[in-house]
Amino acid sequence: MTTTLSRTIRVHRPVVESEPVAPVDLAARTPLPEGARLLLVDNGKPRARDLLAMLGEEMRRLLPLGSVEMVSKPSAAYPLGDEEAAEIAGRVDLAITGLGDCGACSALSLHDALLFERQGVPATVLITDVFVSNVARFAVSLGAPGYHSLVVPHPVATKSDDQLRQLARSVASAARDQLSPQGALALS
Amino acid sequence: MTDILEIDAERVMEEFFERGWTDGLPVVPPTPDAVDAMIATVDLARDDVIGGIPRRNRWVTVEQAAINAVMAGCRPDYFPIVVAALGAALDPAFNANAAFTSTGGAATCVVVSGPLAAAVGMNASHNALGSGNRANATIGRAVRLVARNVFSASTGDMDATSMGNPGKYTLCFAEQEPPAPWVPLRAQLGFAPEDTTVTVMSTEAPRQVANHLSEVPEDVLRTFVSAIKVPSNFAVGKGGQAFVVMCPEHADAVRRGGWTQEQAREFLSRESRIRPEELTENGVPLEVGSANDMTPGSDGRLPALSSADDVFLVTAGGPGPGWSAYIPSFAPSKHLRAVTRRVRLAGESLPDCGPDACEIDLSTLSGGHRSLTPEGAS
Repeated sequence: MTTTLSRTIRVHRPVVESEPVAPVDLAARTPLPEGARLLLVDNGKPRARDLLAMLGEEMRRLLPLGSVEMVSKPSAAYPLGDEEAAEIAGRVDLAITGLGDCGACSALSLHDALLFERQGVPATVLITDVFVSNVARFAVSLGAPGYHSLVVPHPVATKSDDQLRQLARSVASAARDQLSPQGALALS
Repeated sequence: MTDILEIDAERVMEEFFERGWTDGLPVVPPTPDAVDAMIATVDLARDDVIGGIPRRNRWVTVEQAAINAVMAGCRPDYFPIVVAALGAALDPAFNANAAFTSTGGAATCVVVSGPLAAAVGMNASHNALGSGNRANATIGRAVRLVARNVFSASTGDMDATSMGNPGKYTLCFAEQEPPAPWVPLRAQLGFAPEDTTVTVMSTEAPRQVANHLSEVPEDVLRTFVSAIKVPSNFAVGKGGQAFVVMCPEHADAVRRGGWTQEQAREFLSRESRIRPEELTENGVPLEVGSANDMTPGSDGRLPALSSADDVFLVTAGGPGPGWSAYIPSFAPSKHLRAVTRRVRLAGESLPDCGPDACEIDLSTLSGGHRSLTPEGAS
């Protein structure tokens, strides 16, 4: 009669159990002053600038905005620099970043939005629907699990101006609520 | 120090598959002895950080790299090359945060130039880009396993690849020393002949370039041009980078025709510039108002390759009919770039004084830092 002994092998775990990331302190959503300044961060993806500009127009109808500023990044594959974001944050009250319609650019537009949150500027990120889960995973890795976003159907780059305007309208109220829950009250 | 797990030896492979720790192929179990043998080949501590992606809060240590190198099937003497490749891939200019998550689904192409390649048995000849050589296959695979297991570059996690390409398993080969007066890639990039360098680039899959019937240099180079100015490549019209991998016949034809490598690179860069109509006629609209400037130059054309310096001209492959390869970057060079690092072996004095790391003027350092001065340096 033979006896089978269980045999084990010792191996290293190849994946990294990340240390918990320090949570991002999101900017407080306080009632907006008259003449509030909205920043739009265009990452340079095709039609991103157009869609953001239309969203800015919609936001003028929903919030007491005094100005809407567009900043265009030289590459969607890099985030804004920390110092650049801090400098811009000093002259704005709200920020919308985008367009996250690819893997890298959605992750980095999220990163841009969180840069402004860290600076005390309420922000959100505009993405297309197929990148919702990608952005959710990056949000965890960046210390902002469950961070909100504005989601439009993919693709954007092939849409007409009229279709883009509809997309802008479709997320405008969500943008108002994510940036300033008191925005509707301020107008009432 | 990473966790040590104790797993039923007969189930170890299934465990690794079930936990999502492999690229879909079996791996070698990373036992402590095997991992220690890797680490012993470099003058680094196991907890030293090779590099990281700050924008996703991830860093790779020597030990984590060694674990994944064991899993990939590397022999310990390959590990210094793996470490150099990871250092290059984690250079900010390479932009791994974008490369490892882009829908473009790029391979991490690794080209090794120098004596260490042959010393560890890498293949630069027949089937250089194909299967069958352990060093080629496993060095490239180790880099991708680190991307997967340390930087979460896997589908369902932080890799948003739409299609991908087979080079994502591994895409690594050695350069064949070209006949004089041509010089190897490392020398073209300013490194010493005795150095071994690793150049990494985020690329599409390789394309075969066939020309068996002409030894006229311009004919050979124009065949490459036809492979370069392809509208379906995302960088064409915007300006990318590429490995131009010449087989011995094609390299000989161009060299015997009296062309220098610089002239060949300039020809390929210039002649692959593309008319905007060639893009639109193939259904590719020009980007307008985007970060990619697609305004034609004074010649009325757009770049497929950003410049002659963005052509990485190497020789590889076995003799026979002229089969070469073209391996383009998957995205324009303004977003991410190839990076080269020198391979350092255990016992080498610090600092690494390749052209990528010699910008520090040692004479300006305080006395406390001068202990890093290499032997013999003043």
